[in-house]
Amino acid sequence: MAQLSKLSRRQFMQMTGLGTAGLALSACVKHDESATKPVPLTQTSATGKPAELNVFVHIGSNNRVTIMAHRSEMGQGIRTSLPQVVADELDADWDKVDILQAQGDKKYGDQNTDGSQSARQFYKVMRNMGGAAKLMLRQAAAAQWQVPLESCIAKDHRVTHAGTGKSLSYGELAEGAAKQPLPDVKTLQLKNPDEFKYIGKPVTMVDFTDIVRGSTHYGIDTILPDMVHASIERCPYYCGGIESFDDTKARAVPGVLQVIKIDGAKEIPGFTPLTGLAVIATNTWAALEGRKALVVKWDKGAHGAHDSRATIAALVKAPIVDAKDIRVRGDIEQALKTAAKTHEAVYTTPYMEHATMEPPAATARFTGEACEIWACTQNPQGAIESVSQLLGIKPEQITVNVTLLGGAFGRKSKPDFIGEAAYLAKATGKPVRVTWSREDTIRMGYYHAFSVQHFKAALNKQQQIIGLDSRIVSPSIRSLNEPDGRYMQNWEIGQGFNTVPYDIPNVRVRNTPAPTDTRIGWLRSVYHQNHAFALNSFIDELARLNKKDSLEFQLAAIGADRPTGDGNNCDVARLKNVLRTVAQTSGWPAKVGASEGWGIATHFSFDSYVAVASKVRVDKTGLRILEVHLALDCGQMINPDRVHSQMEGSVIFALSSVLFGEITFKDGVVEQSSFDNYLLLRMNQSPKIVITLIPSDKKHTGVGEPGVCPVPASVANAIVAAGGPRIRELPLKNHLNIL
Amino acid sequence: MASLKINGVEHQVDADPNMPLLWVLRDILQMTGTKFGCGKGLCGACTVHFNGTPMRSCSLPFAVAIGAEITTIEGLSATGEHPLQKAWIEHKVPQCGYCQSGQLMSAAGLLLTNPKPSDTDIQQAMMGNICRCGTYPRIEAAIKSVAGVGIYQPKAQPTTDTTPSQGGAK
Repeated sequence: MAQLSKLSRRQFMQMTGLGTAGLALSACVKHDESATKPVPLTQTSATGKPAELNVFVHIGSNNRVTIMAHRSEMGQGIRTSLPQVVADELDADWDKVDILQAQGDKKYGDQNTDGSQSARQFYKVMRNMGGAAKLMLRQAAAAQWQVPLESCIAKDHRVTHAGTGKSLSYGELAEGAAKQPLPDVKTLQLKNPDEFKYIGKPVTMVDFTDIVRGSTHYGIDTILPDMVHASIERCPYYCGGIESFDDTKARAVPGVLQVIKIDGAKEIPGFTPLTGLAVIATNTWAALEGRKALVVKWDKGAHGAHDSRATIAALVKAPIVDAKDIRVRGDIEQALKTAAKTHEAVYTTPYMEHATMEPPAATARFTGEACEIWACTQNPQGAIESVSQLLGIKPEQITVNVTLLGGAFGRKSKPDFIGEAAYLAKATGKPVRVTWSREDTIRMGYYHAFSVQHFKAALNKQQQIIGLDSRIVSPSIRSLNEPDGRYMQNWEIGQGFNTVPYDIPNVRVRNTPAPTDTRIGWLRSVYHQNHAFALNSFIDELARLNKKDSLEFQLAAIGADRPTGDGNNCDVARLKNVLRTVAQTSGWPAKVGASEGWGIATHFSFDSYVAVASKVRVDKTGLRILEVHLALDCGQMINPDRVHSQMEGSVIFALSSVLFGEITFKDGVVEQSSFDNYLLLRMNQSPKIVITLIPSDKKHTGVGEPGVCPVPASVANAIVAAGGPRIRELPLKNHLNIL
Repeated sequence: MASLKINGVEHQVDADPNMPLLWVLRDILQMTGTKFGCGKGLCGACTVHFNGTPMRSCSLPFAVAIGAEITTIEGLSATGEHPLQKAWIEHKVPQCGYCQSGQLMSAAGLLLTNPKPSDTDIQQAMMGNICRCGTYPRIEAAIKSVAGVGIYQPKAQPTTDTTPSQGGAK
């Protein structure tokens, strides 16, 4: 709802901009060094209350401009990049801009920082916000000087009268500006791109100074007076429970104050806390020690025998039952029957966990009247909704302060851990911080869905693909909220399985049911990364089968320039362009040393185009990733440096996934627990990375997620090129020694 | 009551001697710059200097630190102007930033003993620090940019903190 038209209904401008309830969030201080942690996000400046020009822009009489960051910062730079846009249209001096993290509030519109959406959804809104505020400042100057608006020029944090050279700072104009009528968005004259001062520039992230000094505030860093600490022993079985427990010894551990039972969902987990025993203590370590002393007999429920390897293996071989047609084009049966050649393959990808470096952590204070929360959340409004249901209080009684997020990748948009803190704050009557251990994080996740993907292709004599028969089996995220959510949702299959970029006349896409044995959640690029792995591996197999260069075969399969007709608006000219770009930067088909090879892959996701070429060495000692080239076309860029860093990070994130990423269940329980058995890529394993960002004046598209998608198949294809095996079951560590 | 010297300042701590230094720093002394990542010394997020040597504070009973000079990210430099801190900003290293305290402490420890590390030296010294965001290429570049610039010695500030500790496990 972050639109000016809605704001006008609030009639902000009939207010003086001072002393109203609407100013609760309008602090214009960045950090009050003297304040006790956490930094109070609602503090009002000592230098006078700022004038609110719209929900995103405040200007203080001290000439400081405060821009609200309403999306969550998890490393993508959004606390910097969206304010960059506002500041540019406002013609503010970046050195006089303070960024204030917005609390969860519907007035900011969608705050769920997920789905690589921020620039796509809010670029225009931010420009309008900056542009509107600037117009109001100019109007205030025109009114004060009794001169025409056109003669009042805004530049570098001041408005100057063209005729006389008279000039006032934004701070001096702020109060007058707040009394101006809210402009109609349509009348705003926004800048031409050649006038941009901050948009498209590599502005340094506003949090860097605090980060390198260790003075940032993440969810795990909240400290409140009289706060107690909680560590929770949760039921390791999906939808299981507690049969019996003995907490006598736990309560005897020095520092432990009490043990509180939490009853979680028995059927569909949603985002509610899991069943468990919360050990409340004076510090985190005592709470962790207390947990070790608990004696619990779990009720294993219906999933106590879950064996994920067996589940996946069975789905590879299972006969096709209850298949649902997702898409049918042409006659696939006939195409397969009349083909000169057919080829089939099954690919599997495992469960994975987000493994954020900062585990989930939240702090809550409950007074009976109100619940105030501090959390590393991607979705503060979702947290309010969830806590409201859990505690039976109104959303208006709940405040959610968004801290920095020490990594998120989708995990921190699920508010189960925030519910835990709120529940325990109510139960203890004290401020409570819940800190997840690493083991909790790995073993109690919202797991990235496994997949089993079946492909069969029909090729004609000209070595063209005339038919593609594909079937996906993968647990759906809908299973979180639906007791029988065995089929995938259309958008899940639409993430690159139904929506292939190849020009193929006969296509059938089917979905067969998958069991639900754990909490399924979205993880960076979600189903796209599974589908991109299988499809790009399969196209490489087809190229090899036809003894063709993989790049040439892919380009031919993609076919003539056109938007694909699958409702996903993929412009294949842009897709081919990123492929050709990585081919160029990598020198494709480059000469390689012994046991070395290159692989290539591409994927369209979150409206962005990415191609990756990877070089590996496979020999007796194992697999080494040598080089990864990535080309991205994401339209215009607000902050090219942060786009670049997201791509570097995407490569490394995806390498962790393809090489090591695997969560397995045995007897209903996750087998991995920490970084010694859930491995992540380390610096000495990190390859040379070459990123190319395609310049573009097209609309902004996704950045946070698309980069990871083509990486796994590029590596799998490179292994074959290097003389290694075709690996269809991820992760690679189960097949090769990783160097 | 035990005395811990952290960033040149003596702190009186009343806690179970087995409590890892990490939790003494974070929960008792409220110095939250040192991060919790795994509690097993596997990720490096909690790295501090123990008499100048990088150590994982999550696995170090705090009693072992009595009598030692402990340096945390808050004490790497008084003003945030350690050459590595400046290089981190210049190379725009951080993404989420959570692991960077530990990365900086490991890198600073390396340069204390090896002012001109080779690529292999850097990778060996830094492989214990996981970054999930994938900032390794920039960390490497930032370290190289200051290699040989001069060893930075953290300056001790000999004052005594007399604030009684809170939240001890007693």
